[in-house]
Amino acid sequence: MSKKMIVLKSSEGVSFVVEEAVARQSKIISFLVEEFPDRELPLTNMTSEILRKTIEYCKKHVVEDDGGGDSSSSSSGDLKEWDVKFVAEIDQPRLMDLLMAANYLDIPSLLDVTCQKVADTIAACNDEKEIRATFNIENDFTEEEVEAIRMENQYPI
Amino acid sequence: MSDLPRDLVEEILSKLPFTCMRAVRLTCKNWNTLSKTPSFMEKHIGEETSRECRVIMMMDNEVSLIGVNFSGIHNKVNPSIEHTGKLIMRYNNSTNSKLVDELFHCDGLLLFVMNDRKQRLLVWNPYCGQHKWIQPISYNRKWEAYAMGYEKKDKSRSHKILRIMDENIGPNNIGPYEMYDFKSDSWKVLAIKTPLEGDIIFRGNALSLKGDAYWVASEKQGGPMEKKKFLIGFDFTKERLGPRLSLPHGTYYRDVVILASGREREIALLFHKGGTSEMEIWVTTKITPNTISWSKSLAVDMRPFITGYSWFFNYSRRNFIDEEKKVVVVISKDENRTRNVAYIIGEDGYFRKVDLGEVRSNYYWPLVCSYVPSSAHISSSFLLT
Repeated sequence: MSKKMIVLKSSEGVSFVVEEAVARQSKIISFLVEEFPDRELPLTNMTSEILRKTIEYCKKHVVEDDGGGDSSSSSSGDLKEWDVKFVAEIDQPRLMDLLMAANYLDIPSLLDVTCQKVADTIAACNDEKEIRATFNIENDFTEEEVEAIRMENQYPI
Repeated sequence: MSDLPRDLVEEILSKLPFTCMRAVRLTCKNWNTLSKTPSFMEKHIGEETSRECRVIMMMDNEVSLIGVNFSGIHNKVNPSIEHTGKLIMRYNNSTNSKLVDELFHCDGLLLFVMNDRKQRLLVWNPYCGQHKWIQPISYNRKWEAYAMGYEKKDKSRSHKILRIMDENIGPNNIGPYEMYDFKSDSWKVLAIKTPLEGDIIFRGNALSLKGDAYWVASEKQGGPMEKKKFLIGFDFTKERLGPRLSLPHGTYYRDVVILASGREREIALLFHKGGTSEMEIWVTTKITPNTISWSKSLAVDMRPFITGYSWFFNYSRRNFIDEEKKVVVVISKDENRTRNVAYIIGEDGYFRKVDLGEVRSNYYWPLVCSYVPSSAHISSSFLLT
């Protein structure tokens, strides 16, 4: 029996043909497929690059139901390792886009992995200056405000 | 990052170890505000505490947060004891004098009894970053014990400090039980009646559990053979001591009995029978300042590891236990007293020494308390914005 396929279309209009089981890891797509079968789904706020990455993740994480109960394509230890490598290869701006995509498409495990990677990057920064530089955040404090926060968070001894 | 919706920023920041929070608050207004909202704190603390057991350790005037992970212990994987971060940075390396006499944890707040002339107290919430110095009503007096707890009323917690003075002091004695209330920022003397409370000696450090404090105590009167040990609790809501609570079995004066905390859920008792190599660990199944029941958790024959009297045990200044994993950690020094060491004792003769670094001063022993972060406020001046 051939597997049911659906079409996802990126913001550039590029079509991606994906197995339905793979795409259904997104709760949004899962819902849309039920509401609008046989239609291609336009994802106007996702670039082809990010959509390709998202599909790559979903393909790896799909749980195949071949009648004999759930059987994941990989063991959970291997999957974890794969996830770490997957996010390590993505640069900072694209990681943020992927995080937004995971949030938009409602893929909880991908959201968790991308958030953890961002958190690890923040934790690896030495101070607030490095955090701002890494994430392109503007310092919107006045000097007095910085002093107040320092006072509040100072080491007591 | 600035374009991310608030709930995603919250999701990311809640995955950070809390030693990063100072830098996070200093990054931008948005993050600073977010990090102080009750919803964020709740989420963050939930993530923090689910990961591993946290311990605050004070060694050689340095306060560190230590993460302890016992999860692999029964699969022959050694538990990890990892320095998660130094909490107090401004430490003067040149001083060898003892900075802190006593360390106590309750509800995410750390109480340091300072070893200075004025016997000042420092209360610190390392998670929120706030701290407060408290002056005792009087100083130059010998104190017997300290404890911190909270009054449970209408679901809100009102924190208090109990200071028990040594009775045998000069004419300025204003009463052996003094209490500081964070809400009113003032001390009062408690009218605790003798003889029940007057004729006992508090042995060792108090442990906090659900807002109340517990000590091992013994009678003041009588010869060493008659000085039975028991447990006594202080109820911070009623502001009074409870009755003597019995230990799981009788004790002889040479027996070593110390308390260990277990993630603020139960109290464990380490019982080392004097002159033997046997150690028993008992855990409370129910405990309030008025009632107690015990169950035996672990019996260990220490013979392979310890020759003679278990001195490290006697000097150890508080310990912790993971009841689920049946592991006890005793923080002390090694045989030569040159290294700080964690002794990990588990089921089926599991015993391991973890080196915690060189002892810099012979004057003091490591202070340890298990730690659960909280957003408990120290003073009303800390307002959420």
